[in-house]
Amino acid sequence: MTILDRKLLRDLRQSWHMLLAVSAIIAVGIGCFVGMLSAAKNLEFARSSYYSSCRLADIWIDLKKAPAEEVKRLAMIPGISEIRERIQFQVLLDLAGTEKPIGTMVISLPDKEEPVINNIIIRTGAYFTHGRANEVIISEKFAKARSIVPGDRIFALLNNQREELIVVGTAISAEFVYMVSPGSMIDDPGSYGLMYIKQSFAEDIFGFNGACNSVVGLLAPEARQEAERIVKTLSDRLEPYGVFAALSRAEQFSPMILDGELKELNNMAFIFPSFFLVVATLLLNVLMIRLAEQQRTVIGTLKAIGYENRALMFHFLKFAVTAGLAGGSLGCLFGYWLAGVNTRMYVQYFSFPQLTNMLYPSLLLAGLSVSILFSILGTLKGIGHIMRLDPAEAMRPAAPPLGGAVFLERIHLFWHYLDVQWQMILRGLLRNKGRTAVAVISAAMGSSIVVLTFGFVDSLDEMVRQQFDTVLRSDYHLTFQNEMDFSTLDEIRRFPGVIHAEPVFIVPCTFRVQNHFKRSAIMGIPPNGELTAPTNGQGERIPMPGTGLLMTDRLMERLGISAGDSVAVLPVKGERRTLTLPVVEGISSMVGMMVYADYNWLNHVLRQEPVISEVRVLTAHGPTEKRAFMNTVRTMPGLEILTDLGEQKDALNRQLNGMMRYSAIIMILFAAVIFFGAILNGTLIAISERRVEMATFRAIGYYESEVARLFLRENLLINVIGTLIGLPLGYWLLTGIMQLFITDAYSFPAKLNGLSYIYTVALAVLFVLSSQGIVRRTLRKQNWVEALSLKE
Amino acid sequence: MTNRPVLMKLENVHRTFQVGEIAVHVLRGVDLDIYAGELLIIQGESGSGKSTLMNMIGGIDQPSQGKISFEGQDISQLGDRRLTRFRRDQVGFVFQFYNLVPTLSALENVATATEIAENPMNPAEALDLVGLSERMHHFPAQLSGGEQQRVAMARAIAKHPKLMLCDEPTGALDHENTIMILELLQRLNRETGTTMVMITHAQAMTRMANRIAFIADGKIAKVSHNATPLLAKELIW
Repeated sequence: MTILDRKLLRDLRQSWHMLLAVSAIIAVGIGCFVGMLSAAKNLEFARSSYYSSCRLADIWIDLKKAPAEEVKRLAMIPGISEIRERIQFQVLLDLAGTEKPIGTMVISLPDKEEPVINNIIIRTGAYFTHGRANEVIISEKFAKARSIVPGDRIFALLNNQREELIVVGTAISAEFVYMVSPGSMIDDPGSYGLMYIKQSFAEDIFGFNGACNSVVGLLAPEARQEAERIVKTLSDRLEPYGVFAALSRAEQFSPMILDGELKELNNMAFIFPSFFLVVATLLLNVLMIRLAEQQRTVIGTLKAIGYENRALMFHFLKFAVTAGLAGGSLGCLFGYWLAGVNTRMYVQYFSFPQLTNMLYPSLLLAGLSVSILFSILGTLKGIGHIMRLDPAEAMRPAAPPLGGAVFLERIHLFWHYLDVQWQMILRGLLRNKGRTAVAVISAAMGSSIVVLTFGFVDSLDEMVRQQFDTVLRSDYHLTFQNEMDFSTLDEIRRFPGVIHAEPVFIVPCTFRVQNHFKRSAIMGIPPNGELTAPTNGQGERIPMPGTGLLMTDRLMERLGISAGDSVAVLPVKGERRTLTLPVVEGISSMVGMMVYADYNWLNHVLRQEPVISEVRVLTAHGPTEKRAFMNTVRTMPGLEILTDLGEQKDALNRQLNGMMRYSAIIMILFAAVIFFGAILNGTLIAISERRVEMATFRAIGYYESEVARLFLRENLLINVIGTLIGLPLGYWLLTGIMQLFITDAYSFPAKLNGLSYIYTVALAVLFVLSSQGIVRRTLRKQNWVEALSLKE
Repeated sequence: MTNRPVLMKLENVHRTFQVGEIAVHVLRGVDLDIYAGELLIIQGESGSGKSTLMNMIGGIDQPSQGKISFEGQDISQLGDRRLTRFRRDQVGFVFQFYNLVPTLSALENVATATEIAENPMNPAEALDLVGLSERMHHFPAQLSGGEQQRVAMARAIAKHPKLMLCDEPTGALDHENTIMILELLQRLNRETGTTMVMITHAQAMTRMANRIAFIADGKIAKVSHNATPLLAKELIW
C-alpha cells in the first residue's frame, strides 16, 4: 500500500459521517434505478414467454355477427398469417350465496384442445371433455376470489336462459394479464369473471351456428409494423357485419395496460434516481472542495516534495469513487430487494404463469457504473482546486475569510430587526453562495419528491372523487345486450329500492377527421339528467347542449380538432350512414374517451324511435331495499352487465389506501434520505470549519443548545427556502408524470391539495428538527478546549 | 494584596489528560488565590500547564482533583449548564488569536456577548472604551491585528465580568499594538476594578502586574509581588 493510499484510508475514516450521508443518497438513487429496471425486465421476460406460449393475437375485431366462412377467408389478406373466429358475450353469473349477479365475459374455445390464437394455460382441472356440452373453464383469479373449484356447478344467464354449467378447470390467458370489468378502473377479481365455453355450446346457446362476433388474428412477423393498416383493412372488409371495435395489440386493453406499466417503470427508472444522483454529486462537490481547502498545506507540501498532479488527482478521485462505489453497491443490493417487492406487487395485479424476481448482472454493472460516473462528476471541482494550487502558496495558511456587508444589510429595517445570530447566519449563507445553493437545491429536490408523493395520492383521490361523485352519480348501471324500448325504463323505475333512473343510448361508432380515425361510442344522456354529469378539467359540470357533441379533450387531440369543429361519425347501428356532427365543447374523462350527446337529439339524428342501451339507477341504500332490487334485477331478461359503482369505488379506495399509501411512505422515506444527507453533510462541514468560532461561543458563555440553535436556524432557513422552491418544481413534475401515465383507457388529473403543501413544509421542518439530534451529538463531541488554542 | 478579598481560590488542583494509554499529569496540585481587582500574570515554560490552569480558572475545563471556588462557591463540580452560566456571567476571555467571528462586524462581535449577558454594556459603548467607535461597522478582515484584539477585549469587557482572562493577548501583535493593548487592559483593570489574569511569555510585562505566579511542572513554583506596578507605557522592552 502506498503512503497516499494509507492517507486515503485515514481521510476516509475521518470523513465517514459525511461520506455515509452521500453514499446513502447514491444508494437510494441506484436502488431505484436497478430496482425499477429489474422489475421492468422481470415483467418483460414474463410477458414475452407468456405471449408466445399463448399465441397472443396481434389484432382483435369485435363485431355484431359475421359468417365464420367469410372470416376464414380474411387469412388470405397479405400480412395475416392466421385468423380465428370466436364467440364472445357478456353474461351474468348467478352464484349461490351472492346477492348480486356477477358480470362475466364468456369466450368460446375449440371443443377439442388445440393451439389456437389466444390460447389458455390450464392451472387446475383439465380442458373440456367430449361428454358434456355445458363444461366451462374459469379464469384462475376469479375462481380463487369466488372459491370455485373444478367439479363445481354454477348457474349463468346465457342468452336469457338460466343454464347450469360444470366447471372442469381453471386457466389463465395472455389476453387477460390485466382484467377489469367494463367501465371500471381497477382489477377486482371477485367482481368480474372470465369463462371459456365450448365453441359448439356457444354456437347453440347464442344462436351463432356458423357465425362469430369476435375475430382475432396473428400477423406475419414482417407485417407487425403495419398492424394498424391491416386492422383497418380487416375492419373495412368486415364493416357490413357491424364492427364495434378493431384494435391492434398495442390498443387492446390488457397489453396496453402492461405496456403502459412498463413504459412508466422505464421512465421512472431514469427520472426518479436522477434526483438522488444530482444531489449526491452536488454534495460530493461541496465535500471535495472542503477537503481541498482543509488539506491545502498538505497538498502544497506533497507537491513541493515531488508528487505529480496526476498522482494527487487519482488520490482524491479514489476518495470520491469510494463513496460512489459504497453507495452503488448498497444501491444494487437495495435495488434487487426493491425489484422483488415490486415484482411481488405485480403478481397481485397481473396474471402470469410465472413472474419472479431475477438478478440481472448487466443492470448491476450499469448501476455501479452510474454511481462511479456521478461520484467522479462530484470530484471535478475539488480536483480542479487541487490541480491549480501552487505549492509555495499552498504551504502558507489560507487567507482568512473576507468580511464585508451583504446586500440584505441595505434593507435597514429588516436587518436591524434581526439579532446577531441571524445576521451571522445570513452573512455566512450569502458569502458561501455555492454551498448554500447546493443545500437549497438538495432541499428543493427532496421537497419535490414529497410533493410528487402527496400529488400522486391527491390526484388518485381526485380521480376517484370526480369519477364517482361528480361524473357518475348513480349506484348501478344496467347495460342491455340489445337496445330496449322505453317501457324498460318505466319497468326499472318500478323496481323495489329504485329512487331514480335515467336512460342512456350508446352508439358505437367510428369518428373520422380527414385521415384520423378512432373507434369509440357516443353516449346519449338526458339533457337535465342527474346521474351523469360531464365535467371539464376543473371538475365543473358542463351543461349538455341541445345539439352537437361533448367530446373528451384527449379524443379531440387525437382527431386533431377543437371545439366548434365538426367530425364525421359512422355509427355501427341504424342506417349506418355517415353523419357530420358538431363538437360543441371539450370535456375531461378519467376513464375512457367519452363522447356525450343529448339523448333525444342523438335518437333524432339517427332517425329512430327512442331506445335504451343502458339504464343508470339511484337506489335506496338500506340492505332490505338492496336485496329486493337485486332479486328483481337477477331475473331481468336482456340484461348483459350490472355495474355496481359503489363496489367499484370501494375497491378503488381499498387499492389506493393499500398500495398507494404504502408506496407514499417509501417515497417520503427516500426524500428523507436526501434531506438528512444534505443537512448532515452541510452541518458537519460547517462544524468542522467553524470549530474555533463555536468554541469561542462556548467559552464566552453560550450554552451548547444555543450554539446548536445557530445550526438549527441555518438549516431551517435553507430547508424551508429549498422546500418552497421544491413546491412548484414538484407540481410541475407531477403534471409531467401524470401526462406520461395517460393512455386511451385512463387519464389522471394532476391535483395537489393545499394541505399537501403545508404537509410538505411541515415534513421538511420535521426532518431538520430530527437531524438536530445528530448535530447536537456532534457538537457535544467537539473538543473545544483544544479548538480554542487553534489558530484560524 | 491581602487586604483585597479573594475572588477565586484554587486548592490542590490536579488535571490529568489521557492520551492513548498514557495519563499526562499536567497540573499536579495547584494552590492559588486570585484577589478581586488585581492584575495577575501567570508565567511558565511551554508545556508547564499555564493554559490548562487558565482553562480551569475560566471554567472551560474542570479539575481531575482538587477544588476551585469563586466568591466562596465551589465551581469545580458544576455541571455543564451551571458552568456555562458561570462563564456567561462572570468571565471575559481574550484569546491570543482574537477568535472573532469573521462574518460579523466589530459591533456585532461584541453583541455576541452582550446578547446573552444579564446586565451588559451597550456594544457601541464597549467599542468606544477600546477606542474603536470609528470602526465599529468593520469586519475582522478589514481590521489590523491590534484592532481585532481590541474588539475581542470589548467583547470581554462588555458584559461587566468580574474576572477577565487573557491568554497571550499580545502574542500575535507588533510592539506598538502590544503597548496599546496593555494600556487598555491596565486602564480597564484600574477603572472598572475587573480582576485580570494574564498569561504571557514577555518578561517586561510582569512589571505592570500586581502579582506574578510562576508555574513549573504543574505546580505554582513561586508567587512574587510588585509593590508599585508600572504603567504599560513605562515598561522597558
